[in-house]
Amino acid sequence: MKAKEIIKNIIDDFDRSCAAVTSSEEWNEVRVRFLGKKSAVTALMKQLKEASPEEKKALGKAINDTKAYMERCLEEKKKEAGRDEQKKLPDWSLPGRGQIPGKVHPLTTVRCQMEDIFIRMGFDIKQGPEMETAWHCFDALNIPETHPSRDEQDTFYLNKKNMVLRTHTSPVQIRTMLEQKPPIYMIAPGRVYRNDVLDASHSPVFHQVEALAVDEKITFGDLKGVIYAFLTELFGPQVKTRFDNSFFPFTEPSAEVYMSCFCGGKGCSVCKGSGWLEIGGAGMVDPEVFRAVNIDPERWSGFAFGFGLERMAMLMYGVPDIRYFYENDLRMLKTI
Amino acid sequence: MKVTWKWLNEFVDLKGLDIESLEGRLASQGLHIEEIFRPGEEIRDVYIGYITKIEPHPDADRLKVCSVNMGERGVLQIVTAALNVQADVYVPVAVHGAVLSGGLKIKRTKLRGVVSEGMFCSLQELGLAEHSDGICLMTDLPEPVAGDPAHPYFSLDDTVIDFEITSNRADCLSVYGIAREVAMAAGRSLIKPLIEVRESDIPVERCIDVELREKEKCLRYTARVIQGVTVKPSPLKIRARLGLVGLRGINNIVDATNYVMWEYGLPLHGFDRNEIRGEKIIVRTAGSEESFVTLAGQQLKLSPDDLVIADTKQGIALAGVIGGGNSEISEQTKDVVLEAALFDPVSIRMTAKKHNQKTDSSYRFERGMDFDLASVSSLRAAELIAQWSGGSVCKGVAERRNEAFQPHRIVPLRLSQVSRHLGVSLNEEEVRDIFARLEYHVEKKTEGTLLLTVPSNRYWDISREIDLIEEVARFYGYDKIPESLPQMTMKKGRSDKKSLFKEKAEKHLLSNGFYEVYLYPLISEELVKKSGYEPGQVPRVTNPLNREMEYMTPEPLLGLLKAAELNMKRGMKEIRLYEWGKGYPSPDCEEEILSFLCTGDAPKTVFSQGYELGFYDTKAVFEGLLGELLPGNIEKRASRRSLWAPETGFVYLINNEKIFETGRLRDELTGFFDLRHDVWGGYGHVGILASQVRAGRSFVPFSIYPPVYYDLAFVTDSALPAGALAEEIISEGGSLLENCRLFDLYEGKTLPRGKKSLAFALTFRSQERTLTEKEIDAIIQRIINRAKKKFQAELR
Repeated sequence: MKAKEIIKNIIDDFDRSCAAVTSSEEWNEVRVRFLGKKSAVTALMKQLKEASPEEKKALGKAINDTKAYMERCLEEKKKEAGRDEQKKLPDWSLPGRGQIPGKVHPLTTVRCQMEDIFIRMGFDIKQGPEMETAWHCFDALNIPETHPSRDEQDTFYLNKKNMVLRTHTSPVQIRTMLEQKPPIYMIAPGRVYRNDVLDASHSPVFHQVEALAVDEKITFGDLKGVIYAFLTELFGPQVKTRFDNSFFPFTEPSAEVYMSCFCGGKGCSVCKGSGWLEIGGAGMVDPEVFRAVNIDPERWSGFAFGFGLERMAMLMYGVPDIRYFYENDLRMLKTI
Repeated sequence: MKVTWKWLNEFVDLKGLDIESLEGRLASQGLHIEEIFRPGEEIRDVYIGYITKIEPHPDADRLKVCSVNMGERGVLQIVTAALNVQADVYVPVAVHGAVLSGGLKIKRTKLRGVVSEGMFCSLQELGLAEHSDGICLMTDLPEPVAGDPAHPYFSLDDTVIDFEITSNRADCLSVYGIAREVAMAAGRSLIKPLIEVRESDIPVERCIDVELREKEKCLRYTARVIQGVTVKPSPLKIRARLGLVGLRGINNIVDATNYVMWEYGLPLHGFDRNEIRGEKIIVRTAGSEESFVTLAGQQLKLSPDDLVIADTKQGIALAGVIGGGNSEISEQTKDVVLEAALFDPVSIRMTAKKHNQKTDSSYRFERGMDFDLASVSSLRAAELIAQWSGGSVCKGVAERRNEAFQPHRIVPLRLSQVSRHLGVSLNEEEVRDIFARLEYHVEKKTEGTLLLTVPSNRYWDISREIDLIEEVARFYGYDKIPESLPQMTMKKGRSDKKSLFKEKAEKHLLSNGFYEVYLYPLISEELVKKSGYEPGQVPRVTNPLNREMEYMTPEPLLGLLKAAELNMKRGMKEIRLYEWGKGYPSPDCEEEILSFLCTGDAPKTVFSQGYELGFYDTKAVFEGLLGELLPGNIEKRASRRSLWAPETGFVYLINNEKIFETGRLRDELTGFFDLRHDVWGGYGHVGILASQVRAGRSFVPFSIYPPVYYDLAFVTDSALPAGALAEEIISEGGSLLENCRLFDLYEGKTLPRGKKSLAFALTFRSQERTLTEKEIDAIIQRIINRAKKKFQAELR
């Protein structure tokens, strides 16, 4: 066979083999086969010795060109194969990279959800001091020293005359009504204190979210409507409300607010079989309160209601014990 | 307020109903049931037995062996240690398998070798008394039947209902008052039971005289006299009923007054007439420094604010609060003076409060009692005393009253106000109907206005139009009032700098892996001292829940240590916490403080080495925070606060005002909380920080030309802060240096001692053109020269 044909065959064979290479092992096999000591090209080189000087020159060039061609192809192939090898598939079971972000406390999450709904309704957020005067906390709210309801507040007294730790966020209502003229639509989320036992459902420090609306035509129907709109937004459209008569010195008429339990009224351990969850107090602002802040009760009327933040969060997340919120076990903070 | 179903039935016929069926309706009327308890469901297998024989126990002096006739159930042998056991009496017997109050189970057993087939019960074991001396001997019952279940004899077949009564509803502090509401809820009528008292011929005036000196503090005072009483325990059925509602049986006279108080609400008091000097009761205020000994033996110093019931010599009761030891009913009492009076609520409240004498009586009087109740209560108690003690009731009542007091208020109601407040229109007929059912007298004043006469039992609660509107709402039904939404006027929306700051700050905290916590801001005195404050200056709670929660915290960061401790103890290793809290350094100061800390180890992961949490983790946070503030003169100084370990604390200031502190917490503090790792933390003054927060930044034009990268590594003294060298590089790099980033910090064997290597990656870029290598080389050379000149830094 003529050397020219042999070279053509070698190149054809090489092209086919090279194209089929998929791994570095195969690549190496092809390299050894076509460029190694026992390769066809090496065999051709041996023939070269026997060739005539003219043939030698032409054949030598052809062999060198062939070798160069094959080396070039293999180099290309190596780069290509190398690229693919670098693109190893990731291990999907490994975690993502980067700092795992922290979380806000569940009470903050729930408070923000509540605030968000009220803000969208048109309520402002107001704040006030926790070390409060007895006047703002009680007297202005129609809870005079002379009335037994004052004792029911379970007040913590401070070592400064007439100063208490606020037992509710209602003094913020008083401060707001003293500061600005109606119409007033505000909520007061905040920390409050009660000298009460510490157990699964009572904490001496807890939070309330209170709402107050004072306008020219506020009715008990509005109170019911706002609470209903709020609760269905927070807990879902299936929620029903119930209002029972109650007594708070700062509202008249007053109501205890209930919401249908998540069990759908069948009765469960959360609602203790009743199908209803007590979630807060409500009522129409008592004229005595308006008088204390120089608002004319003949012109303005208003409603106020308050919910316990912890109670809401316990219901929302199924937290069985109020104390968990103040223990701050990271396992809870990470999960909720 | 506990009542029983059978007792209620004495005032309203509830045949065919049970309390559960009325619960919802009662709640909507404002009467919430706290608990329904059926003692018969707890107590089982207790029967009536008749003790026929008592023999000594062969092996124990203390024990006796009794033969008990249990009727159809045969004869049982019961061994007892009861001292008051006697033959020929009926007793309640818990037989084998019985369950008593509190779940106590009774079994057949051997006592010192003798079989005992059951146990005799005391009232305590039947849940009818808090404490009993000895077993219950059923001596006063007509004729029990041996073998009968004990339940009906002890009212254990009754249902106890515990109502929560709000402080405005003193009218419901009685069986009768609750029956009134129950009747309304059930749609049945209230029964007014006939009270029968056979009075003797002796007029009461011959036995007692009443002088009412204080007509503002005592609106009505009545006295009856019952002569020739025998003081002894009241009938078993009565003691059982009192036990069910939580009252303690004392003797037939005191029990009668308590029974009637429970029944009608008005606290009554019985005096031993023979201890009343001058046969006269004087209602007067106390003299200053007048002393008085209560029937509990407590000596009180009275003052002219206090109302006393006195004889001609001394006080015999602190009016409406507590009786005196000097005139108490005793076994020797023969004649009883029965007081039924109405005292002013405020006066009673202030006296009870001042002398710390909170009694059942003061509880009721301070809520306001019904003027009209005095007559019926007095009559009813006289009836019971006569019945239970064999006494004879003197003719008539000695009574004095404040004639000016009008117990039936008249309050006008404008019908327009009903719809104004409730959002529902009721016509005159509907309103009239509600009030008629509530026993109000209704009259029309003018068109659209009614005049309502309030029943005396609601005198203290209903005095204004709005109170009447609540009554309308209560009986119309809150649930029938349609829901609506207020017709609001739109107003200016205002953004809030503080919440803007909080949002921005929180972003840095969360992205750096910090978790928010909620803490009690109350701490112990010891911790106040540890935090470097004087306890005398920090606000203190005068009635704390416990010593651990006595002071308002001046330093919220300390609370975080406690949360860190808890998590460490529970096995958490990586702790990063923050709190939006408050500091209360003085009674006039309450300041919002953001605190945070980190401690423990960040664990090794597939992507990174583990490391101990510390300074750089807190720096990530406060660097972020400071970056949110307006650029300007933020100044950093060493902090001298004792909170921080020496030389670790720094304070940041704006216009000489502290905004932020950070450092490593002193070992003494971390040790107090049993934290073994270093704790780094910081706190910021939220108010000032929020005032300095920048809402947005302005656009900086960026270059579209290609960058040139250049890495430079210097060997410098170890003590040289990297930032100092970086500053020189940036300054020399000029406007063409877009970025200078420290990418390596090395100290080690390949370098001489006291030296370190700092490697910077520099990015050069021009705003106007593509940079040439030559230009960059020149800048690099200048940087190298400057580093060498300034810090003797050598190129590595």
